[in-house]
Amino acid sequence: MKTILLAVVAVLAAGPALAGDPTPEELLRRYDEVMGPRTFEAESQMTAWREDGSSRAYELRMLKAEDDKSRVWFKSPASVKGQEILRVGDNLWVYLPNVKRATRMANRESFQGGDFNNADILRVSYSKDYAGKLVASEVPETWALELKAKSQETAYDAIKLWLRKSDGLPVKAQYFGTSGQMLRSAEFSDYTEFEKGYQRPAKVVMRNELVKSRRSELVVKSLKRGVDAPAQRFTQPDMGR
Amino acid sequence: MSTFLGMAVRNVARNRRRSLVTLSAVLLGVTAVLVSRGIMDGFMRLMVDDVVEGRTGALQIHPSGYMASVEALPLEPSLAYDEALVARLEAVPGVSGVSGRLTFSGLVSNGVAQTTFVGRGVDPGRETRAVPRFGFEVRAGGRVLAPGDHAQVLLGSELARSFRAVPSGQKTEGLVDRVTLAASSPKGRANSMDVAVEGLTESTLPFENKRVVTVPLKLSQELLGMEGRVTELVVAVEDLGELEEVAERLRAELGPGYEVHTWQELQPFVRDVIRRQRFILAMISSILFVIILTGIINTMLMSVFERVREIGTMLAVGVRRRQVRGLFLWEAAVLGVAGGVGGVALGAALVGLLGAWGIPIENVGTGGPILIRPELDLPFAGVTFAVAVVGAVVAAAWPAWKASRLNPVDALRAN
Repeated sequence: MKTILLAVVAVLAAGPALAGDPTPEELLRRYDEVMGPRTFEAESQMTAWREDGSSRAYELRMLKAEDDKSRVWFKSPASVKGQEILRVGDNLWVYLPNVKRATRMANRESFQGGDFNNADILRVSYSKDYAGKLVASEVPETWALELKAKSQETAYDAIKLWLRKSDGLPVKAQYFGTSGQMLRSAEFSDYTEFEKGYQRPAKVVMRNELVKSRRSELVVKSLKRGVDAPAQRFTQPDMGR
Repeated sequence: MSTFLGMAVRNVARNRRRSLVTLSAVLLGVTAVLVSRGIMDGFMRLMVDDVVEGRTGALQIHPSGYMASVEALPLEPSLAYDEALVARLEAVPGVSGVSGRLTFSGLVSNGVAQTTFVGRGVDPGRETRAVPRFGFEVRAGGRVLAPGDHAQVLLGSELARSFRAVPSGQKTEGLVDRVTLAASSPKGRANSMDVAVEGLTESTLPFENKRVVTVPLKLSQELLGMEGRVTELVVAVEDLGELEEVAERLRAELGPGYEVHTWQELQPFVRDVIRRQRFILAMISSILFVIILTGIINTMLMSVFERVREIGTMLAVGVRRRQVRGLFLWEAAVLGVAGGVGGVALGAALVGLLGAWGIPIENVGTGGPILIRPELDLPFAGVTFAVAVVGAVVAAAWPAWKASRLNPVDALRAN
């Protein structure tokens, strides 16, 4: 009797592994790997739409190294050309070419006045910052993950993420504040193979759920992983060079 | 000496018309200065009251280093807001009330548009102890925040207008009575809350109307994840004249880690306006003073010329030259005192009258008229009086000197 009970319990416990469903931790790790590779260099375009229907498009180059060092160079339009943003850990600096000086900035400010906040662009480490739970998904062929912040220091209190069953790539996401109100929603599309064996969505549309007429789009034009990113490039004195 | 004083008085009385001219010049000058200063003080009083009793309080306590980066409205470091600290501060002599506030920035939206706002989280139960006129600027149709409020806020009138927001109860087609406030915690956590608009605030300071949203303290603490914390403590004092002393006592009580600022330091805009206005008044008064002085010199000179024979007689019978000089100076002094007293009396009467009626002016920020009540500053009146007397005497110095230089022989022979 006891042996049968033990066997049943063992089978049940091994159930999820046997069934082959990924764990939330695995899914989040894959998300981080795809959306925020440890070291990469990318050229992108960000477009921000405002309430009045006008839009602003920015061309930028981004370099990321290790877990929390990233640097962005703005190439266009002329009004921001030469500006840079550097993030090292929790510290954020912005460099303005017309004053030739780098000043600290707050993490929580929006990225160039668009609907991404600085944390969205410059820091992707969901497996470190959030605890995930698999839930039923109403979008076909996707896993639905409910993420809850592990600390008070994340940009959002909760995130709902839909990932493709086929390859774990994101399809859409919703971002919630502490009050439970949805602040932003995102749609991922244009899945592109940037490198051999490395595919990810090239386009993210981030909608402002508080002001529905605002949205921002980030389109990645090229991405190279594993590039050489010397530590010196991520220091404040190096900005502007 | 008293003979000459008596003579001076009789001389003044004898030449009624000319004396009246000099006296009137002094009187009108003094009156003009007192009334101008009275009106200016009345206007300043409105601004100071608005600031001290309606907005910043007399003093504010911040964590050390806050004011250095006040423009960024830092949320850290923050102060713990607990009963023990408040009780300790209210026990400091001179303090009449303490309340905590959370000042922060964020984005406000009505679903269609968004703009930045400066939020003021206010403790509705305690705020009137520190800021007695809290709520006085809520426009008719709205209501002040009450202790039971949570998701109810007050919007600056210009801000509300640009968002087409009205207090709940006044909502009609095309208007909103709810807005969403979005802000981030000190650690970067984004959060938002839907709130009801309970009233609109109107103030003489345009910034308040364009940018400020007043919310209950607990709401701001919840929005920012700062439960139990505030960014400043607002302090009311019993006597504004004792401001600096009370500030020192608070500094001693709190020790390092805190900074205490007076309202002048917190609203340098208002302090600068007051300084500038006083400076302008001083300039105008000086110009007035010079004009009147010149007038007095003129009438005194005329007086000397007309009394050449009289002066000659006096010198001939043995009156000393300096006594002649002294006589004219006394006459000027008498006129100065008479004009000064009359000016102060008339000025005080006018200021009192205007003070009772009030002078309506257009409200800079919002367009509704408010009343200025001029007030009399007694020390200032005293100084003005003294200046008038001294000025009259100074003006008479040259004519008096001229009189004393006359040659008795020629003087007696004159017309």
